[in-house]
Amino acid sequence: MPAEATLHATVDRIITGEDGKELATLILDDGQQLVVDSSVLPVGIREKQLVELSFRVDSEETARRTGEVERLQGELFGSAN
Amino acid sequence: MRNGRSSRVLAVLALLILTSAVVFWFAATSHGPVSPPPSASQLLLTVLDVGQADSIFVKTAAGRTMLVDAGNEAADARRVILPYLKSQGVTSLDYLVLTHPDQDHVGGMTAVLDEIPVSAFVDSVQPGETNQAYLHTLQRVQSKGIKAVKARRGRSDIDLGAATEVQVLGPEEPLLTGNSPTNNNGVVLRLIYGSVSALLAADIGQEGEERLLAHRDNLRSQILKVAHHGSESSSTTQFLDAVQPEVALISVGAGNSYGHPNRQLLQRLEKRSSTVYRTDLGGTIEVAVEGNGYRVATRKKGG
Repeated sequence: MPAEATLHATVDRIITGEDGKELATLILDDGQQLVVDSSVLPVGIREKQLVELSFRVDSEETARRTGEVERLQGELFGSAN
Repeated sequence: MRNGRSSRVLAVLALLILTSAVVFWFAATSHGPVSPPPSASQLLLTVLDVGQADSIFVKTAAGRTMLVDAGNEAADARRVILPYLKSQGVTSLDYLVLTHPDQDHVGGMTAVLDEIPVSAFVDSVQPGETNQAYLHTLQRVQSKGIKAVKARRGRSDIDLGAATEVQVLGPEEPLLTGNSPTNNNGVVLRLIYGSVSALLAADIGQEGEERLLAHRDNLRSQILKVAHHGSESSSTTQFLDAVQPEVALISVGAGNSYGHPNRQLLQRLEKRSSTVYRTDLGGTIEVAVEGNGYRVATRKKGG
């Protein structure tokens, strides 16, 4: 497994939702769907284009989220763990 | 005479209207699980059909209620869990238990908390968690002032009334740190009502099972909510030998990507003459325990 795995997805459709947000439906090659706000996609993206999905660990956000959960656990249950 | 005939016509019309209303009501409510609430002497245990996820409802003879896990997403709560609670006349929950903060157990928690009063939230309280639905659940519990209960082996914080004993078998300190710690440190409950026991095994795997076995707990239970949607890594031979389930309830999604329930596991259950009920095949599974016996019924969505 490479350090940064890559997947491809087709921008199947871009639709404006009930709340006015523009949502893009991405279809991975195995059929899984990912619906995202189109603002997270590259500017000028069009339906039927392929996008590359790459992943990296966000250590900063992981630490922030873990810290927030542990703070709440501590306040609610008396001790973090 | 004319007045008498008019009265009869009116009476027939009224009867027709009433009959139509009753037929319409039945047709409108016959979709989904709408079985009547249990009688005053029954304990009801329901494995709700939330696909590849878990949500188990318990209502005791004393009228105490507990929901264990809340499906994968808010839609599970809105479409399955909350309508079922309504069909059972449940307007509040005494306990909302989160076995462990994986999405297929915590996903619908906030939707439940937003819609129905909860007296106590029971949690495995594990370190290093990042699931956003879990974070939002804790925030709701805090903002609503709900009593927060840390589930640990041997503690008896869950009171479902005098007739029902609730044993908290796991997790146990120190928490497991090996494979799949979030699963193996899940909340495992054993309910005892009369001479009937039910074991709710969350998603624990081999390590979690070995820990229970090491205590030589009395795990024997006629009813087993099979761990981890029927995964091969759970429900080992030794564990099943200790539980000796007569019925095995598997909460699993049709055509799921994981191949659950595992074929070898089904064979292990078959070898022990356990009758298997699966939500992907039968829909919602209801077990009504009364006296020293129980009966199992299933209901498909829309059936």
